[in-house]
Amino acid sequence: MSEKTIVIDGKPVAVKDGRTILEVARANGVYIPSLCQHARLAPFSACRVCLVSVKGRPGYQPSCSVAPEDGMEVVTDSPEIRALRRQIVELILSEHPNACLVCTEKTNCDDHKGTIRKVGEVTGCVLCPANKDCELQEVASKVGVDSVRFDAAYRSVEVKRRDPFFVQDYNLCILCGRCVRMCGEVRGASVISILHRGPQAVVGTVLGRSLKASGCQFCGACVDACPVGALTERTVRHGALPDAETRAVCPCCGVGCNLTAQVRSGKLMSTPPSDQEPNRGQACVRGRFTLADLVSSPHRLLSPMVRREGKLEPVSWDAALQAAADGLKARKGAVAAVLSGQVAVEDLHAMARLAKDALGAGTVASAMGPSIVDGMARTAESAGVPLPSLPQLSDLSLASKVLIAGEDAAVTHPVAWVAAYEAVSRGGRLLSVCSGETRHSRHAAAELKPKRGAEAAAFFALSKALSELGVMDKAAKGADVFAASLAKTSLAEACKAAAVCEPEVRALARELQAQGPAVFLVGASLASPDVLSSLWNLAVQAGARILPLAEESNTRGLFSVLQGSGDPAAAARAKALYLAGPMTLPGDAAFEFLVVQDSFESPALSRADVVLPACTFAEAGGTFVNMEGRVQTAVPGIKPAGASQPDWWIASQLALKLGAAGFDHGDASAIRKELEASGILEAPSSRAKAYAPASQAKAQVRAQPAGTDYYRSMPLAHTSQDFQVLRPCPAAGQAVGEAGRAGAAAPVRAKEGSPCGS
Amino acid sequence: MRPSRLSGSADLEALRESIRKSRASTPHRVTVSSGTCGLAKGSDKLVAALHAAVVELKLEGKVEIKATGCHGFCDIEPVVLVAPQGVVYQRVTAERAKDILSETVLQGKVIEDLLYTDPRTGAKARAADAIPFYKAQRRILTSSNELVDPVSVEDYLAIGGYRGMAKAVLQMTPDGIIAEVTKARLRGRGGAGFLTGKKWGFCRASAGASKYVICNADEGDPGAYMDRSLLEGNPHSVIEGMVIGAFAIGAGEGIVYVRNEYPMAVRNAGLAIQAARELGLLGKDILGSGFDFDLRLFKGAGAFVCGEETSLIGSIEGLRASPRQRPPFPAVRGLWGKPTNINNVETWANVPLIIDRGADWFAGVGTATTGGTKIFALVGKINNTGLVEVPMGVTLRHIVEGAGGGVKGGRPLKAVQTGGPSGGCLPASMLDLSVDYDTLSKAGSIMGSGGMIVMDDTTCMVDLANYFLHFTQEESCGKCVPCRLGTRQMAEILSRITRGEGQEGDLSKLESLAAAVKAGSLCGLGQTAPNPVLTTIRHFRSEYEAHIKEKRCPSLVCKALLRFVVNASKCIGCGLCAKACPVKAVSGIPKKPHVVSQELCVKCGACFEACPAKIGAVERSSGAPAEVQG
Repeated sequence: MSEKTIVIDGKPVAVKDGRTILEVARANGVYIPSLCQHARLAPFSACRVCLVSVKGRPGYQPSCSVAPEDGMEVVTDSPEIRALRRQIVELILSEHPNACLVCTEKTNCDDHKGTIRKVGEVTGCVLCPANKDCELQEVASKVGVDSVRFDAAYRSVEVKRRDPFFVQDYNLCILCGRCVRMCGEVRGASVISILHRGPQAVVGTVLGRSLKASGCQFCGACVDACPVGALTERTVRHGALPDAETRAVCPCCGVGCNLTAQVRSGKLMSTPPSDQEPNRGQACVRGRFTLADLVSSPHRLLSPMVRREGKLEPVSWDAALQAAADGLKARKGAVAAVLSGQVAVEDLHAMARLAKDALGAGTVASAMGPSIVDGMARTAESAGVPLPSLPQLSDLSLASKVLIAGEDAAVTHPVAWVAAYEAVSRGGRLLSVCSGETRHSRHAAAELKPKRGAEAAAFFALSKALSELGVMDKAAKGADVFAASLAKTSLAEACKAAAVCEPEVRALARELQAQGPAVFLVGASLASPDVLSSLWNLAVQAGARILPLAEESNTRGLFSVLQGSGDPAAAARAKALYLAGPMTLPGDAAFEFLVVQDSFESPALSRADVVLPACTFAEAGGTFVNMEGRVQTAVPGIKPAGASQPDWWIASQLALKLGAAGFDHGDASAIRKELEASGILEAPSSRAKAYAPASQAKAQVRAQPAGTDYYRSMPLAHTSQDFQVLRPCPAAGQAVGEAGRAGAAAPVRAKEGSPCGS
Repeated sequence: MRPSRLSGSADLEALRESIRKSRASTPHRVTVSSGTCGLAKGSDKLVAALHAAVVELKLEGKVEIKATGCHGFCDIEPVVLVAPQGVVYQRVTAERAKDILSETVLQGKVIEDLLYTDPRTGAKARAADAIPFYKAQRRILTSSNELVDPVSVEDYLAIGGYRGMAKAVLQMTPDGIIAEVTKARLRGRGGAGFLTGKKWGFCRASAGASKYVICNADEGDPGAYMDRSLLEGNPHSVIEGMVIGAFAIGAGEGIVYVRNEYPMAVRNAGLAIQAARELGLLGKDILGSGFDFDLRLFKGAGAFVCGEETSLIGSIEGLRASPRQRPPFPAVRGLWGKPTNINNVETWANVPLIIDRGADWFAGVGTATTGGTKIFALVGKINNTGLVEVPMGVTLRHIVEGAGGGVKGGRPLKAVQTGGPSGGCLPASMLDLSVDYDTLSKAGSIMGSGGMIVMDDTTCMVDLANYFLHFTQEESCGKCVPCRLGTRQMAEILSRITRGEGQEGDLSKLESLAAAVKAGSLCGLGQTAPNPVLTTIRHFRSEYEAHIKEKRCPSLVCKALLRFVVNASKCIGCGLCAKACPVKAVSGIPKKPHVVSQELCVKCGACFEACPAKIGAVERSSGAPAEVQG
């Protein structure tokens, strides 16, 4: 952008990044009130409190929607502007209960709080859920409104409580439209809209249905965008303001959203998203609304327990650790360990070391089985390269082609979907290869719905169609083998195997052929090597980067620690099992001794000999590596519930009881140092090399726009070569089924395969 | 019979010639005005009866029966024109169809009782130019309505239609057309009065391969219907104007956004587009010029705000119709983000005339700043209700007293409201104001799209302002705060005043609110919404003060401020008033003066209406006498 200068209130100001006068003014410390403006949203110009005068333009202009032009002269403050703003805020307050602003006793409100009779039903004040956390309150005080001359014209509508997680009180709505725009512009959901006209205008859904019936995913973006108390989280409504806030990393999927853990009186109240990468103010229902409940769940394990006379009984830590150590030591050499990708790298490292060094475990497995990250690594291995650095969500949002494969990403990884949708709203093309119905389907420019289990054939068909369009990187290693494999089969045959129709395959291939950076989002259900290698080859052909949608918050951390995970089913066949992950035990598991280390009650407890209660993410903190490879550190926000302890502490103590050396860590940071020393985690200064964190990724985006032709000339992966093998066969179906079982994949409805697929 | 697609002006002229030739063999023509209002008065039955009579009288091939659009004079619908005699008949019913054919057409006799009688002079008028309503007009646009059957492209060709378009796309350059339209001083007839040529120039200058032109036919002002009359009466003139505009701008696609409440306009415009397309007057390679342009209809979503151009664009895009901030103007970023030019029906209909007859001729019709004519929908307390087309710059008096024939019932004129809900009220003293964009806006009103409501002394100006503010309040899209809530507060205050609950300071509150709504609103709807209030306060402040201070409605309109009293000296005790009263507020024994109980009275006025005019015992007054207070 060329350097521009505008004059704000007589002072020349250089325009750097600001898209609007409002942004430029704010960046330069000039206060202009605003209500409907939001950094993530397009200008709306509805609230009119940000009016300024611009020389050469008639009347007043909303500064939120005027682009700065070189030499523009702006006046943000004058008696006329102040009077106009005051009148506009007063008008807003004629519709919005405002006792909190104009009450004569507001300064000594606390003295009167005891009697709520002094305020009517909808007058605001202490009854307002947003009291003291309200942008309107702030604007009104900045603009200087201390009385409202107009007759009150409150809406007096019923407060809507029928939907879960948040309450809609449109008596407090100021129609800034942020919730509506957030839902449409950012989330691509468009569940809510402004209905009716004039004074009847109100936010609502089609036919007045509940949000749930309207397809709402309860991501909470609307709640976080609401400047007033119209949309408030149910559990913290009237719960007063938090007294502490810490940074947490959401444990619910591989995106690893940054959340703000809001704590009051030692209790986790709420976890709104924070503005940093990777989620930039967005979250989903799991991270936004379920975590506080999860942490204070009645099903938490609060005390160590040991089975005595058939019953689990609470004991001291020392007794429990001793019992566990005794039981495991007796079966040394025949011990297996199962870990979880939901805990921090420090915990995993301590547990993995416990398993390998102290227990001599034969198998150390991930509870969920081989992850998509494992699959990617194996595919890379077959191509003879290390796991390539992955695209960031910020790259995804700049991509001109986004292919979502095998996952209803808007449900399983909603925040990754937000980045994909950002690309779509910038004009990018959304492509989809998913066997079931998906939420993103309505935004897709081209779509294939292969038969479940035949995704590999679908990717193969796309490769075939692309090569027919002349897209084939002959320089890539293995290109000749791949070309030969493609040549063996006709497109029609490949389409038939995938149960997709040829014109649709060609259409999608043409989209892939188009210029511009491409990113493939790959769901965990496609973790099988067959599928991933055909997708890899398609990516090489199309010059796309692959971003695997890891299922757990630390799937990548677990991969780094274990370097490939063992088979959880094999683990269940060991004599003694150290179970520190959410694995469903097979009914025929024949172990003699079971140690369960978990935060919550689970069916495994029924066979546990020793139970070791672990902290949750909010109590333990630690380092997490998300699906982009971003290393994030969470800080403990609350004290551990009951006697629970961090996983690393439990593992270290258990190892010490087993007599192992090198487990006397004082705290998690010591383990962190150990990790950095061992190269599993890079030290902050050199971290870039291993995990490509945000700063470096950004630099990459600038230098090499979102990985154009990223994969070009990348070696092709070893596929089964002979297309015959790719025909849907029971084995392929089974493999996918197993991976799919692992978790987050959306429920897939009956309709599979395109109607014209046969 | 029709050539499939025309190519070149020779083709077009040959077709025109052949149509004219075939028409010449029919000596007589009976034309029936069959626009929406004609239809409401039974023109369809009349046309059917005329056709039947033609068969009965064996006049096939000798008389052409033509159903056309509206002729403008709403009061005397349906109107029948008999050619070549040039006789005008008014309020013709189906029963008279045969008379017209047998007497006027066959024998040349004039049917006296069907002629128009001037209510002021009592003189009967045989021909249109003897009728003051028509005489006072300069009908360069609306006169075509009398000549063409809206669904017949041949009719339009016969009167010289598409000649301007042929000239534009075959002989002129886009810049030449824009220069011509600018020179003609054509200004947007939708209300803002922006120079059309200049607007086209902006859109032409905008970068982009695909551009749009849109015809705004979402006429929404209460009491205004000139665009409906043009689009349903002569849709080809609009299409021709749009092709010329599209060629000048470089647009490949056009949309006629017509409100769905105009079914006849929707139908006729649709048929006209189809007919034009079949003749190669629309579509690929128009008239062999190499210029591609096609049109489609878009039926409006039914909100007043859809007439605002950015809302209209949103509405076409499938969004909620609410305006967005300009700039960027549609000329830069409009429909689907592409440069878009929007003009209203009347503006587009003027374009072919300019190109065909030249800018100088057009500019000569109007004033130094505005060329051409303007059609007004003259309604209210006026003798001749209808569409009046006059050159820009004539006086209000010319319209009201000349074409309008003065105030109904000979009552004194109080004010004229121009420009609909966005316009203002001009008092009788301003009747000599010249009607053009600049003079009207200087007087605090606007030209608007051409609504003109005449008011006599029985109109309460506070009540009128109240009506308009309630209209804009309800039609506000609700997006921006000043319009949504400011108009609501203004409407509340006005309601209160008309209820007699006005307070000291209400007027200044209204004025300051009006200023905020004007300055703060996002679109034209809000920015002009306070006009009816501001102009009535400016010109009729005393009426407001009477309401507020004396609780009196000088025009005896505001119900809450009225009192109905029986004058005992006049009452004969007939009991009609008591019988009429729905709440039994009137009591009395027969043959004795009755009494209205002020406690029970709901001020419906039924007693006032019931009392025989020659007795006049029930009296209506406002401004309660002191003893009744409290």
